[in-house]
Amino acid sequence: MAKDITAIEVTDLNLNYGTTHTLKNISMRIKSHSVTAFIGPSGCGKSTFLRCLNRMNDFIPSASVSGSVMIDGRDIYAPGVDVIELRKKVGMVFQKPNPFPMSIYDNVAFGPRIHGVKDRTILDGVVESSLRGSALWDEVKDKLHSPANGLSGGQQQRLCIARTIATEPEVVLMDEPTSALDPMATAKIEELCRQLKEKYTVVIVTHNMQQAARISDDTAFFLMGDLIEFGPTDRIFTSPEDKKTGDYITGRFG
Amino acid sequence: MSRKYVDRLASAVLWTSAATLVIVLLSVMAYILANGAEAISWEFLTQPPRDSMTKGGISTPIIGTFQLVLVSMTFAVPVGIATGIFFAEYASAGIFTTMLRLCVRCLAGVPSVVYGLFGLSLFVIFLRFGSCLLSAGLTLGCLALPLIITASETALLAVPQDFRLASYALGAGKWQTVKKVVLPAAMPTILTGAILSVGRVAGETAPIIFTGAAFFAPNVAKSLFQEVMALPYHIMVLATAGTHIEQTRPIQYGTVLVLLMVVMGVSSVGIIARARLRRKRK
Amino acid sequence: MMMTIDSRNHIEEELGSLKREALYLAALARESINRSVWALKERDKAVAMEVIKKDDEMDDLARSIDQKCLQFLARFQPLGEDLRTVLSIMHMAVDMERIGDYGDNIAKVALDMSDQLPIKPLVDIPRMAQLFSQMLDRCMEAFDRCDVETAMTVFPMDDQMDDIETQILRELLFMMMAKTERIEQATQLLTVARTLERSGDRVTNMAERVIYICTGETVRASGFRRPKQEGTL
Repeated sequence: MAKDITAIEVTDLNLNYGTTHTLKNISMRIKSHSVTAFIGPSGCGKSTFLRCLNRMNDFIPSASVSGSVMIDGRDIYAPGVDVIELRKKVGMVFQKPNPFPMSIYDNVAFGPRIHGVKDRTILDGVVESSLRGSALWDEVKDKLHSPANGLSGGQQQRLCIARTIATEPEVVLMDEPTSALDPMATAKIEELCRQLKEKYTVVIVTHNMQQAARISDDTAFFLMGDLIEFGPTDRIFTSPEDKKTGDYITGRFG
Repeated sequence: MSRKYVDRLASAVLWTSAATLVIVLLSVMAYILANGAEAISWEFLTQPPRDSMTKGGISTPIIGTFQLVLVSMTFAVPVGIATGIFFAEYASAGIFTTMLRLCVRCLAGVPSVVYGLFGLSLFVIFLRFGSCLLSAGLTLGCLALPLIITASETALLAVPQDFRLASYALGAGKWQTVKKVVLPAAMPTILTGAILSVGRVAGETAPIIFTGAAFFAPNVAKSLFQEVMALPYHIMVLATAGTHIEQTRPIQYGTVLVLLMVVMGVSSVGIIARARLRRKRK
Repeated sequence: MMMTIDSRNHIEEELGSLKREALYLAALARESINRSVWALKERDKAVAMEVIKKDDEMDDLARSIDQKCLQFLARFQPLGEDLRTVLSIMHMAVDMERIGDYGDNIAKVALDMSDQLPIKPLVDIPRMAQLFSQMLDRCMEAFDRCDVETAMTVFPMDDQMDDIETQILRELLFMMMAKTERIEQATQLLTVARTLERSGDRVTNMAERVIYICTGETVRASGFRRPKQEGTL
């Protein structure tokens, strides 16, 4: 896999909620086929920024965005952009595992189906490969048609990842995907992140700095809507350049 | 007065009022059961009324009631769910939506006789359906509509936002999200609400008196444009308008018992369904 | 009323105790060199024995620091400056323990030489020891206060150590050339000078570590020393 190719290029992104300036002049280059972690105290704008990358902020009427986010050489905030195509390309996994109240199979097949895939053989293939991709196949292959709610929290979250990769995205956004999970399930998701970057670009928001340190290649530190520091994880967690980053990772605030 | 004493007094008052209600309800039911049970027989349930309703059974009102329920639900369930979806998913917050929602809430409190008069003027006279199964069914449908709208809206709003976000994040459009995720998740609750409204519809008299209930019809209605007999109206007729009120008394009690059974049956189906749903959610 | 919680309380406590132990180990190392050189100079067997005995205590302390660092890492999973501090303390403890061994070596030489007639009064070797003490003091002061500038002053001092060593080497060579029976003692003194020079190198390493703790940057002492001269003895 080619490294160091830019997957997402953000330039001067600003976001306002009403009169609150939530993101201030954010610029960064997210590398393709890498794991990029966003860290920072609650309310620093990291989740909001993540949601900017697949325009999930569109659902908040008072939010207004300026600046550009280039994915595949196109600005996703340019007029006339097909948001549906964008979200197909930039998938998202949420904090709480949220499988739909349907069978495991239907959950994974949901994305392909809404994008027009009807052929049963194709769907079967997508479901299997996606579940394999999220390391869930062996655990659920015998009960594909039982309800997804019957799975454990960690399995549900991996199902959500399978559901996301079933639409063959280029980027997978994860918003604190392990905050509701126990350590073992967390470890599995973390390992999965590492594997996912072989095929996708992974961007993960996390409250757990050690987690960011473990799984990411690059780390961005946000504070009060500013991007304070962005660089290789190996450097950020050992020798951060900005004092605020250093203070945050040693627990002096946040 | 000591706090303990007040506590005792309060619980005594509350217990008494609850007990009064239960006692009244049980005695009414016991009375009806005692008087009506002897009238119930296979003939009673399967034969139409004969000899100026002094003999025979109540098969035509039973079937008529089911026909009315069918027509009203065919109308009210889709329209009610659609309106519920509008309120829960599409209507933007604003004075117009608030007004509309208020109207729906008010409609639920309007006396049923008003629905009857409304049905009479709209369906029977203005739309020239005449007094028939269709008019009466639609009128009952209007009566059930606010209940179903409110039930649908509540059920849809109870669907976790996470599901919608997940669906949007997969690239689904709004309608796809509603149709494939939100509605299926809310459907069991919506149907429970609809079933409960069936109980209400089946027991109403006022809305159908002017719109399609027959004093007496020898046969079961074969088209939407024929009048039908219905259990609640039949009871009223037997008890007030007949010429042989004394002779029909056992039939009256029997009919009341049947109606009570139908309504309670339908309602308990709804309640059981709801309870099972709640258990499943946990 | 707001109650503030200092989230760093626990971590600072543990880190502080680690630092104190490191400083104590440094003091022991300093003592070990100073006392052994004193024993050498004064031909004092008792002090030499004492130094040798103390070496075990230093080994134990170094091991305990290592253990504590390990526990600290497991408990706090530190990042940033905390991580650099702990890691550096682990390295510095090795350096200090090794300096203790050097003191031990010098003390053994002192024992050996205590019954012999001195070939010369010792002047430069005690000077080296003094210089070493200064270097270590500055290094530890810099470590304690996280003071990069003080740590930097250690590097040129290592040049002085080298100078004295070269001087000693030259002097002893001449003495050996003049009288062959001096060779045995002179070789031993040469070893002592070399050992002291190595102690200086260890302190230089530690000063590099201190700068790494404070700035996160890896500096090389050689960049702050005069360029190597070719062809000198």
